[in-house]
Amino acid sequence: MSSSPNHFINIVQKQYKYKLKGYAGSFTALFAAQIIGLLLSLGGVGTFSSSGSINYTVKSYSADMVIIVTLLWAFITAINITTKSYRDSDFSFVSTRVSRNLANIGFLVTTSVIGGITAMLSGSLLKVCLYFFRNSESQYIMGDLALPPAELLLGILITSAYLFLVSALGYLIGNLVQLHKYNMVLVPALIFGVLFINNGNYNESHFIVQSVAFFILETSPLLFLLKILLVTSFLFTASIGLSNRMEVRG
Amino acid sequence: MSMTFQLIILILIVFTAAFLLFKDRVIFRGRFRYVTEVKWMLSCYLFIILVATLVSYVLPQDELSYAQEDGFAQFEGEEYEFFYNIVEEARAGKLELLEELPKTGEWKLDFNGKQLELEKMDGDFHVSIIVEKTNKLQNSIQVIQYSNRTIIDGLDVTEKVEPLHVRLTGARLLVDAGEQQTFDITKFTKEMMIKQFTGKEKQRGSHAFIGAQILHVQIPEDMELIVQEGLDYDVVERK
Repeated sequence: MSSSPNHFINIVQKQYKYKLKGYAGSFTALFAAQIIGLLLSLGGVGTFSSSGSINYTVKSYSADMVIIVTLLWAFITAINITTKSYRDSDFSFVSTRVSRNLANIGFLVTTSVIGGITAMLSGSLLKVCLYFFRNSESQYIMGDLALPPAELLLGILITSAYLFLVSALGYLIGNLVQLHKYNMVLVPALIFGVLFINNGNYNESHFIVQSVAFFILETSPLLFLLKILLVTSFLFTASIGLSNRMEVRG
Repeated sequence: MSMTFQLIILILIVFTAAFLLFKDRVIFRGRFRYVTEVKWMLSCYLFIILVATLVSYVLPQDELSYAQEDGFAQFEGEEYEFFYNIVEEARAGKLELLEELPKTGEWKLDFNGKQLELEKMDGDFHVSIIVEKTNKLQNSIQVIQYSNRTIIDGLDVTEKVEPLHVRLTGARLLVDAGEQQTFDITKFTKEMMIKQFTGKEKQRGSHAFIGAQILHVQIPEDMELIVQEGLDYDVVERK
Protein backbone atom coordinates (compact mmCIF):
# COMPACT_ATOMS: atom_id res chain seq x y z
CA MET A 1 0.00 0.00 0.00
CA SER A 2 1.39 3.35 -0.99
CA SER A 3 1.84 5.80 1.85
CA SER A 4 1.41 8.95 -0.26
CA PRO A 5 -1.12 11.46 1.09
CA ASN A 6 -3.06 11.40 -2.20
CA HIS A 7 -3.46 7.65 -2.01
CA PHE A 8 -4.62 7.91 1.59
CA ILE A 9 -7.18 10.54 0.69
CA ASN A 10 -8.41 8.34 -2.18
CA ILE A 11 -8.92 5.45 0.25
CA VAL A 12 -10.86 7.67 2.65
CA GLN A 13 -13.00 8.99 -0.22
CA LYS A 14 -13.75 5.48 -1.49
CA GLN A 15 -14.63 4.28 1.99
CA TYR A 16 -16.82 7.33 2.55
CA LYS A 17 -18.73 6.73 -0.70
CA TYR A 18 -19.08 3.07 0.15
CA LYS A 19 -20.46 3.95 3.59
CA LEU A 20 -23.02 6.34 2.12
CA LYS A 21 -24.41 3.40 0.15
CA GLY A 22 -23.71 0.73 2.72
CA TYR A 23 -25.31 2.59 5.60
CA ALA A 24 -28.34 3.68 3.56
CA GLY A 25 -30.52 2.14 6.27
CA SER A 26 -29.65 5.05 8.53
CA PHE A 27 -31.46 7.41 6.16
CA THR A 28 -34.55 5.19 6.26
CA ALA A 29 -34.38 5.48 10.05
CA LEU A 30 -34.03 9.28 9.73
CA PHE A 31 -37.11 9.43 7.52
CA ALA A 32 -39.10 7.24 9.93
CA ALA A 33 -37.91 9.22 12.97
CA GLN A 34 -38.85 12.58 11.44
CA ILE A 35 -42.28 11.34 10.39
CA ILE A 36 -42.84 10.21 13.99
CA GLY A 37 -41.59 13.61 15.19
CA LEU A 38 -43.96 15.39 12.82
CA LEU A 39 -46.91 13.28 13.93
CA LEU A 40 -46.14 14.02 17.58
CA SER A 41 -45.78 17.72 16.74
CA LEU A 42 -49.28 17.84 15.28
CA GLY A 43 -50.68 17.81 18.81
CA GLY A 44 -48.77 20.97 19.66
CA VAL A 45 -47.84 22.08 23.13
CA GLY A 46 -50.54 24.05 24.79
CA THR A 47 -53.07 24.90 27.39
CA PHE A 48 -56.83 24.95 27.59
CA SER A 49 -58.60 27.41 29.82
CA SER A 50 -62.01 28.74 30.39
CA SER A 51 -62.93 32.12 31.73
CA GLY A 52 -66.53 33.18 31.93
CA SER A 53 -68.23 32.72 28.60
CA ILE A 54 -64.92 32.31 26.79
CA ASN A 55 -63.03 29.09 26.23
CA TYR A 56 -59.59 29.33 24.76
CA THR A 57 -56.86 27.00 23.71
CA VAL A 58 -53.36 28.17 22.97
CA LYS A 59 -51.10 25.69 21.24
CA SER A 60 -47.55 26.25 20.09
CA TYR A 61 -46.12 24.53 17.08
CA SER A 62 -42.54 24.26 15.87
CA ALA A 63 -40.12 21.66 14.57
CA ASP A 64 -38.61 21.23 18.07
CA MET A 65 -39.97 17.70 18.46
CA VAL A 66 -38.57 16.72 15.04
CA ILE A 67 -35.20 18.16 16.06
CA ILE A 68 -35.21 16.18 19.33
CA VAL A 69 -36.04 12.99 17.42
CA THR A 70 -33.29 13.75 14.90
CA LEU A 71 -30.79 14.27 17.73
CA LEU A 72 -31.71 10.83 19.09
CA TRP A 73 -31.36 9.36 15.62
CA ALA A 74 -27.91 10.93 15.17
CA PHE A 75 -26.78 9.52 18.51
CA ILE A 76 -28.00 6.00 17.67
CA THR A 77 -26.56 6.16 14.15
CA ALA A 78 -23.12 7.10 15.49
CA ILE A 79 -23.21 4.22 17.97
CA ASN A 80 -24.43 1.80 15.31
CA ILE A 81 -21.57 2.47 12.89
CA THR A 82 -19.07 1.43 15.54
CA THR A 83 -20.67 -2.02 15.92
CA LYS A 84 -18.88 -5.13 14.68
CA SER A 85 -21.09 -5.74 11.62
CA TYR A 86 -20.34 -2.24 10.38
CA ARG A 87 -16.65 -2.46 11.14
CA ASP A 88 -16.45 -5.74 9.26
CA SER A 89 -17.81 -4.11 6.12
CA ASP A 90 -14.70 -1.87 6.13
CA PHE A 91 -12.52 -4.85 5.43
CA SER A 92 -13.84 -4.92 1.85
CA PHE A 93 -11.24 -2.19 1.34
CA VAL A 94 -7.54 -1.92 1.89
CA SER A 95 -7.72 0.53 4.74
CA THR A 96 -6.24 1.67 8.01
CA ARG A 97 -8.07 2.44 11.25
CA VAL A 98 -7.42 6.13 10.68
CA SER A 99 -8.89 6.03 7.17
CA ARG A 100 -11.89 4.07 8.50
CA ASN A 101 -12.43 6.65 11.25
CA LEU A 102 -12.05 9.58 8.86
CA ALA A 103 -14.57 8.00 6.49
CA ASN A 104 -16.93 7.47 9.44
CA ILE A 105 -16.50 11.12 10.48
CA GLY A 106 -17.25 12.14 6.89
CA PHE A 107 -20.36 9.98 6.99
CA LEU A 108 -21.44 11.56 10.29
CA VAL A 109 -20.89 15.06 8.87
CA THR A 110 -23.14 14.09 5.96
CA THR A 111 -25.86 12.64 8.21
CA SER A 112 -25.68 15.74 10.43
CA VAL A 113 -26.11 18.10 7.48
CA ILE A 114 -28.94 16.03 5.96
CA GLY A 115 -30.56 15.70 9.41
CA GLY A 116 -30.20 19.46 10.03
CA ILE A 117 -31.71 20.44 6.69
CA THR A 118 -34.63 18.01 6.86
CA ALA A 119 -35.40 18.73 10.54
CA MET A 120 -35.58 22.48 10.01
CA LEU A 121 -37.51 22.27 6.74
CA SER A 122 -39.99 19.82 8.25
CA GLY A 123 -41.15 22.74 10.42
CA SER A 124 -42.48 24.40 7.25
CA LEU A 125 -44.34 21.22 6.32
CA LEU A 126 -45.95 21.17 9.78
CA LYS A 127 -47.00 24.83 9.57
CA VAL A 128 -48.33 24.57 6.01
CA CYS A 129 -50.39 21.49 6.98
CA LEU A 130 -51.83 23.37 9.98
CA TYR A 131 -52.58 26.33 7.73
CA PHE A 132 -54.60 24.29 5.27
CA PHE A 133 -56.41 22.14 7.82
CA ARG A 134 -57.39 24.85 10.27
CA ASN A 135 -60.95 25.72 11.16
CA SER A 136 -61.13 29.30 9.97
CA GLU A 137 -64.25 30.02 12.04
CA SER A 138 -62.68 29.80 15.46
CA GLN A 139 -58.99 29.21 14.86
CA TYR A 140 -56.47 32.00 14.79
CA ILE A 141 -52.88 31.69 13.77
CA MET A 142 -50.22 33.78 15.40
CA GLY A 143 -46.62 34.21 14.44
CA ASP A 144 -44.84 33.76 11.17
CA LEU A 145 -45.71 30.96 8.81
CA ALA A 146 -42.33 31.26 7.10
CA LEU A 147 -39.04 31.91 8.79
CA PRO A 148 -36.89 34.72 7.38
CA PRO A 149 -34.34 33.04 5.06
CA ALA A 150 -31.40 34.13 7.22
CA GLU A 151 -32.98 32.55 10.30
CA LEU A 152 -33.82 29.38 8.38
CA LEU A 153 -30.18 29.07 7.28
CA LEU A 154 -29.00 29.78 10.83
CA GLY A 155 -31.38 27.10 12.11
CA ILE A 156 -30.05 24.55 9.60
CA LEU A 157 -26.44 25.39 10.49
CA ILE A 158 -26.97 25.23 14.25
CA THR A 159 -29.12 22.08 14.11
CA SER A 160 -26.46 20.39 11.95
CA ALA A 161 -23.80 21.46 14.46
CA TYR A 162 -25.78 20.02 17.38
CA LEU A 163 -26.33 16.81 15.41
CA PHE A 164 -22.61 16.59 14.73
CA LEU A 165 -21.87 17.08 18.42
CA VAL A 166 -24.32 14.36 19.43
CA SER A 167 -22.88 12.10 16.70
CA ALA A 168 -19.34 12.66 18.05
CA LEU A 169 -20.54 11.76 21.52
CA GLY A 170 -22.34 8.65 20.24
CA TYR A 171 -19.29 7.65 18.22
CA LEU A 172 -17.06 7.90 21.31
CA ILE A 173 -19.52 5.91 23.42
CA GLY A 174 -19.83 3.34 20.63
CA ASN A 175 -16.07 2.95 20.44
CA LEU A 176 -15.83 2.68 24.23
CA VAL A 177 -18.41 -0.09 24.20
CA GLN A 178 -16.60 -1.93 21.39
CA LEU A 179 -13.25 -1.71 23.16
CA HIS A 180 -14.12 -4.51 25.55
CA LYS A 181 -17.22 -6.63 25.98
CA TYR A 182 -17.50 -5.63 29.67
CA ASN A 183 -17.89 -2.04 28.55
CA MET A 184 -21.32 -2.96 27.19
CA VAL A 185 -22.43 -2.98 30.82
CA LEU A 186 -19.94 -0.52 32.29
CA VAL A 187 -20.49 2.36 29.86
CA PRO A 188 -24.31 2.51 30.19
CA ALA A 189 -23.90 2.10 33.98
CA LEU A 190 -21.46 5.00 34.01
CA ILE A 191 -23.79 7.16 31.91
CA PHE A 192 -26.78 6.42 34.15
CA GLY A 193 -24.57 6.98 37.18
CA VAL A 194 -23.64 10.45 35.96
CA LEU A 195 -27.26 11.17 35.06
CA PHE A 196 -28.61 10.15 38.44
CA ILE A 197 -25.79 11.38 40.60
CA ASN A 198 -27.15 13.47 43.44
CA ASN A 199 -30.48 11.58 43.10
CA GLY A 200 -31.16 13.23 39.79
CA ASN A 201 -31.35 16.65 41.42
CA TYR A 202 -29.74 18.88 38.90
CA ASN A 203 -28.40 22.13 40.17
CA GLU A 204 -26.14 24.63 38.47
CA SER A 205 -22.99 22.88 39.62
CA HIS A 206 -24.03 19.52 38.17
CA PHE A 207 -21.60 18.27 35.54
CA ILE A 208 -24.33 17.62 32.96
CA VAL A 209 -26.02 20.96 33.57
CA GLN A 210 -22.71 22.76 33.11
CA SER A 211 -21.90 20.77 29.98
CA VAL A 212 -25.27 21.48 28.41
CA ALA A 213 -25.15 25.14 29.47
CA PHE A 214 -21.74 25.46 27.80
CA PHE A 215 -23.54 25.08 24.45
CA ILE A 216 -27.12 26.20 24.92
CA LEU A 217 -26.28 29.46 26.70
CA GLU A 218 -23.96 30.58 23.93
CA THR A 219 -25.57 33.42 21.99
CA SER A 220 -22.88 34.06 19.39
CA PRO A 221 -23.16 31.66 16.41
CA LEU A 222 -19.45 31.93 15.65
CA LEU A 223 -18.40 31.14 19.20
CA PHE A 224 -20.93 28.34 19.31
CA LEU A 225 -19.53 26.78 16.13
CA LEU A 226 -16.02 27.16 17.52
CA LYS A 227 -17.07 25.34 20.70
CA ILE A 228 -18.65 22.57 18.63
CA LEU A 229 -15.50 22.28 16.52
CA LEU A 230 -13.23 22.07 19.55
CA VAL A 231 -15.35 19.59 21.47
CA THR A 232 -16.08 17.34 18.47
CA SER A 233 -12.36 17.37 17.56
CA PHE A 234 -11.57 16.20 21.06
CA LEU A 235 -14.29 13.53 21.00
CA PHE A 236 -13.25 12.18 17.59
CA THR A 237 -9.57 12.20 18.53
CA ALA A 238 -10.43 10.19 21.62
CA SER A 239 -12.52 7.82 19.47
CA ILE A 240 -9.65 7.31 17.01
CA GLY A 241 -7.31 6.71 19.94
CA LEU A 242 -9.69 4.10 21.34
CA SER A 243 -10.25 2.36 18.02
CA ASN A 244 -6.46 2.05 17.59
CA ARG A 245 -6.47 -0.03 20.75
CA MET A 246 -9.13 -2.42 19.44
CA GLU A 247 -8.16 -5.97 18.70
CA VAL A 248 -7.39 -6.89 15.09
CA ARG A 249 -10.16 -8.74 13.28
CA GLY A 250 -9.66 -12.46 13.52
CA MET B 1 -50.93 13.61 26.74
CA SER B 2 -48.32 15.11 29.01
CA MET B 3 -45.02 16.25 27.58
CA THR B 4 -43.06 13.75 29.67
CA PHE B 5 -45.22 10.85 28.54
CA GLN B 6 -44.88 11.98 24.94
CA LEU B 7 -41.12 12.09 25.29
CA ILE B 8 -40.92 8.61 26.80
CA ILE B 9 -43.08 7.18 24.01
CA LEU B 10 -41.01 9.09 21.50
CA ILE B 11 -37.71 7.77 22.80
CA LEU B 12 -39.04 4.21 22.79
CA ILE B 13 -40.40 4.52 19.26
CA VAL B 14 -37.24 6.12 17.89
CA PHE B 15 -34.95 3.58 19.53
CA THR B 16 -37.07 0.68 18.27
CA ALA B 17 -37.45 2.13 14.77
CA ALA B 18 -33.78 3.01 14.49
CA PHE B 19 -32.63 -0.41 15.56
CA LEU B 20 -35.17 -2.27 13.41
CA LEU B 21 -34.49 -0.21 10.34
CA PHE B 22 -30.79 0.30 10.75
CA LYS B 23 -29.40 -2.74 12.52
CA ASP B 24 -27.65 -5.20 10.24
CA ARG B 25 -28.57 -3.06 7.28
CA VAL B 26 -25.05 -2.70 5.98
CA ILE B 27 -25.48 -2.91 2.26
CA PHE B 28 -22.99 -5.09 0.59
CA ARG B 29 -22.51 -5.54 -3.11
CA GLY B 30 -25.60 -6.79 -4.91
CA ARG B 31 -28.08 -4.92 -2.69
CA PHE B 32 -28.10 -1.69 -4.58
CA ARG B 33 -31.83 -1.92 -5.19
CA TYR B 34 -32.31 -1.02 -1.53
CA VAL B 35 -29.96 1.96 -1.95
CA THR B 36 -32.02 3.15 -4.92
CA GLU B 37 -35.20 2.81 -2.89
CA VAL B 38 -33.68 4.85 -0.05
CA LYS B 39 -32.51 7.51 -2.53
CA TRP B 40 -36.02 7.75 -3.94
CA MET B 41 -37.60 7.92 -0.52
CA LEU B 42 -35.23 10.63 0.69
CA SER B 43 -35.58 12.60 -2.55
CA CYS B 44 -39.37 12.52 -2.28
CA TYR B 45 -39.24 13.59 1.37
CA LEU B 46 -36.80 16.39 0.58
CA PHE B 47 -38.96 17.48 -2.36
CA ILE B 48 -42.09 17.62 -0.17
CA ILE B 49 -40.46 19.64 2.61
CA LEU B 50 -38.80 21.97 0.09
CA VAL B 51 -42.14 22.59 -1.63
CA ALA B 52 -43.77 23.18 1.80
CA THR B 53 -41.02 25.70 2.61
CA LEU B 54 -41.51 27.54 -0.68
CA VAL B 55 -45.30 27.48 -0.23
CA SER B 56 -44.91 28.92 3.28
CA TYR B 57 -43.26 31.99 1.75
CA VAL B 58 -46.03 32.64 -0.78
CA LEU B 59 -49.13 31.93 1.30
CA PRO B 60 -51.08 35.09 2.19
CA GLN B 61 -49.94 35.66 5.75
CA ASP B 62 -51.98 38.78 6.36
CA GLU B 63 -55.17 36.82 5.99
CA LEU B 64 -54.17 34.05 8.30
CA SER B 65 -52.28 35.97 10.93
CA TYR B 66 -54.53 37.85 13.20
CA ALA B 67 -51.45 39.06 15.00
CA GLN B 68 -47.97 39.21 13.60
CA GLU B 69 -44.80 38.81 15.61
CA ASP B 70 -44.34 42.53 16.21
CA GLY B 71 -48.01 43.28 16.62
CA PHE B 72 -48.90 41.30 19.72
CA ALA B 73 -51.28 43.14 21.95
CA GLN B 74 -49.86 43.94 25.31
CA PHE B 75 -51.70 43.99 28.54
CA GLU B 76 -51.61 47.65 29.45
CA GLY B 77 -52.01 48.10 33.16
CA GLU B 78 -52.78 51.79 32.77
CA GLU B 79 -55.55 51.07 30.29
CA TYR B 80 -57.26 48.70 32.70
CA GLU B 81 -56.78 51.10 35.58
CA PHE B 82 -58.38 53.84 33.48
CA PHE B 83 -61.36 51.58 32.75
CA TYR B 84 -62.00 50.73 36.38
CA ASN B 85 -61.46 54.33 37.53
CA ILE B 86 -64.12 55.49 35.08
CA VAL B 87 -66.50 52.77 36.29
CA GLU B 88 -65.92 53.82 39.90
CA GLU B 89 -66.52 57.46 39.07
CA ALA B 90 -69.66 56.52 37.13
CA ARG B 91 -70.91 54.65 40.17
CA ALA B 92 -70.34 57.82 42.14
CA GLY B 93 -72.56 59.73 39.73
CA LYS B 94 -70.31 60.90 36.88
CA LEU B 95 -72.19 58.83 34.35
CA GLU B 96 -71.14 60.93 31.36
CA LEU B 97 -67.61 59.56 31.80
CA LEU B 98 -68.87 56.14 30.62
CA GLU B 99 -68.89 57.50 27.08
CA GLU B 100 -65.11 57.48 27.13
CA LEU B 101 -65.17 53.68 27.31
CA PRO B 102 -65.43 51.32 24.32
CA LYS B 103 -69.09 50.65 23.58
CA THR B 104 -69.71 47.01 22.63
CA GLY B 105 -73.49 46.77 22.57
CA GLU B 106 -76.61 48.92 22.67
CA TRP B 107 -80.29 48.08 23.04
CA LYS B 108 -83.41 50.26 23.09
CA LEU B 109 -86.42 48.31 24.33
CA ASP B 110 -90.04 49.44 24.43
CA PHE B 111 -91.65 48.88 27.82
CA ASN B 112 -94.87 50.29 29.18
CA GLY B 113 -94.87 48.69 32.63
CA LYS B 114 -94.14 50.43 35.91
CA GLN B 115 -92.18 47.62 37.47
CA LEU B 116 -89.08 45.98 36.01
CA GLU B 117 -87.30 42.84 37.20
CA LEU B 118 -83.60 42.78 36.46
CA GLU B 119 -82.13 39.29 36.12
CA LYS B 120 -78.90 37.66 35.08
CA MET B 121 -79.29 34.24 33.51
CA ASP B 122 -77.34 31.29 34.85
CA GLY B 123 -73.87 30.95 33.49
CA ASP B 124 -70.26 31.48 34.38
CA PHE B 125 -69.98 35.15 33.56
CA HIS B 126 -69.83 38.38 35.49
CA VAL B 127 -71.50 41.61 34.67
CA SER B 128 -71.60 44.86 36.62
CA ILE B 129 -74.77 46.86 36.17
CA ILE B 130 -75.18 50.58 36.66
CA VAL B 131 -78.85 51.59 36.73
CA GLU B 132 -79.79 55.17 36.06
CA LYS B 133 -83.28 56.51 36.52
CA THR B 134 -83.86 59.28 34.04
CA ASN B 135 -86.71 61.54 32.98
CA LYS B 136 -85.47 61.49 29.39
CA LEU B 137 -87.03 58.10 28.74
CA GLN B 138 -90.73 57.43 28.34
CA ASN B 139 -92.08 53.90 27.86
CA SER B 140 -88.69 52.55 26.96
CA ILE B 141 -85.49 51.17 28.44
CA GLN B 142 -82.03 51.84 27.11
CA VAL B 143 -79.09 49.51 27.76
CA ILE B 144 -75.49 50.19 26.75
CA GLN B 145 -72.68 47.70 27.18
CA TYR B 146 -69.09 48.81 27.75
CA SER B 147 -66.16 46.40 27.78
CA ASN B 148 -62.44 46.60 27.99
CA ARG B 149 -60.10 44.62 25.78
CA THR B 150 -59.94 40.84 25.76
CA ILE B 151 -56.40 39.65 25.14
CA ILE B 152 -55.55 35.96 24.91
CA ASP B 153 -51.85 35.23 24.92
CA GLY B 154 -51.07 38.48 23.18
CA LEU B 155 -53.90 38.20 20.68
CA ASP B 156 -56.47 40.99 20.90
CA VAL B 157 -59.83 39.31 20.25
CA THR B 158 -62.00 42.14 21.57
CA GLU B 159 -63.73 42.61 18.21
CA LYS B 160 -64.51 38.91 18.00
CA VAL B 161 -66.08 38.68 21.45
CA GLU B 162 -69.85 38.51 21.19
CA PRO B 163 -71.72 41.17 23.20
CA LEU B 164 -74.02 40.11 26.01
CA HIS B 165 -77.56 39.15 25.12
CA VAL B 166 -80.07 41.58 26.61
CA ARG B 167 -83.78 40.97 26.09
CA LEU B 168 -87.10 41.86 27.60
CA THR B 169 -89.50 39.04 28.48
CA GLY B 170 -92.68 40.46 29.91
CA ALA B 171 -91.54 42.63 32.80
CA ARG B 172 -88.17 40.89 33.10
CA LEU B 173 -85.00 42.37 31.68
CA LEU B 174 -82.75 39.36 31.12
CA VAL B 175 -78.99 39.49 30.71
CA ASP B 176 -77.40 36.43 29.19
CA ALA B 177 -73.86 35.65 28.02
CA GLY B 178 -75.14 33.52 25.16
CA GLU B 179 -73.30 30.45 24.03
CA GLN B 180 -69.73 29.95 25.18
CA GLN B 181 -67.28 31.27 22.65
CA THR B 182 -64.22 29.29 21.75
CA PHE B 183 -60.92 30.66 20.54
CA ASP B 184 -58.37 28.16 19.26
CA ILE B 185 -55.06 29.90 18.96
CA THR B 186 -52.31 28.25 16.98
CA LYS B 187 -48.95 29.81 17.68
CA PHE B 188 -46.10 29.28 15.26
CA THR B 189 -42.98 29.58 17.34
CA LYS B 190 -39.39 29.58 16.24
CA GLU B 191 -37.32 26.49 16.76
CA MET B 192 -35.14 26.31 19.86
CA MET B 193 -31.99 26.36 17.74
CA ILE B 194 -32.98 29.77 16.34
CA LYS B 195 -34.27 31.20 19.62
CA GLN B 196 -30.90 30.48 21.21
CA PHE B 197 -29.30 33.10 18.97
CA THR B 198 -32.02 35.54 18.01
CA GLY B 199 -33.70 35.78 21.39
CA LYS B 200 -36.44 37.77 19.66
CA GLU B 201 -39.36 35.71 20.78
CA LYS B 202 -40.44 36.63 24.25
CA GLN B 203 -41.93 34.00 26.48
CA ARG B 204 -45.40 35.35 26.99
CA GLY B 205 -46.94 32.38 28.67
CA SER B 206 -50.60 31.63 28.20
CA HIS B 207 -52.14 34.61 29.91
CA ALA B 208 -55.57 35.84 29.15
CA PHE B 209 -57.22 39.06 30.15
CA ILE B 210 -60.93 38.73 29.65
CA GLY B 211 -62.59 42.10 29.27
CA ALA B 212 -64.94 43.23 32.04
CA GLN B 213 -68.59 43.76 31.08
CA ILE B 214 -70.41 46.85 32.27
CA LEU B 215 -74.07 47.50 31.53
CA HIS B 216 -75.48 50.97 31.79
CA VAL B 217 -79.24 50.51 32.15
CA GLN B 218 -81.40 53.60 31.83
CA ILE B 219 -85.00 53.34 32.93
CA PRO B 220 -87.80 55.90 33.33
CA GLU B 221 -87.64 57.85 36.57
CA ASP B 222 -90.93 56.52 37.94
CA MET B 223 -90.19 52.87 37.28
CA GLU B 224 -89.86 50.48 40.18
CA LEU B 225 -86.89 48.14 39.93
CA ILE B 226 -86.70 44.64 41.40
CA VAL B 227 -83.23 43.18 41.23
CA GLN B 228 -82.29 39.52 41.39
CA GLU B 229 -80.45 38.55 44.54
CA GLY B 230 -76.66 38.45 44.23
CA LEU B 231 -76.51 40.67 41.17
CA ASP B 232 -73.67 43.22 41.07
CA TYR B 233 -75.56 46.46 40.54
CA ASP B 234 -75.80 50.07 41.66
CA VAL B 235 -78.62 52.53 41.20
CA VAL B 236 -76.88 55.78 40.43
CA GLU B 237 -78.12 59.32 40.30
CA ARG B 238 -76.43 61.46 37.67
CA LYS B 239 -74.48 64.36 39.16
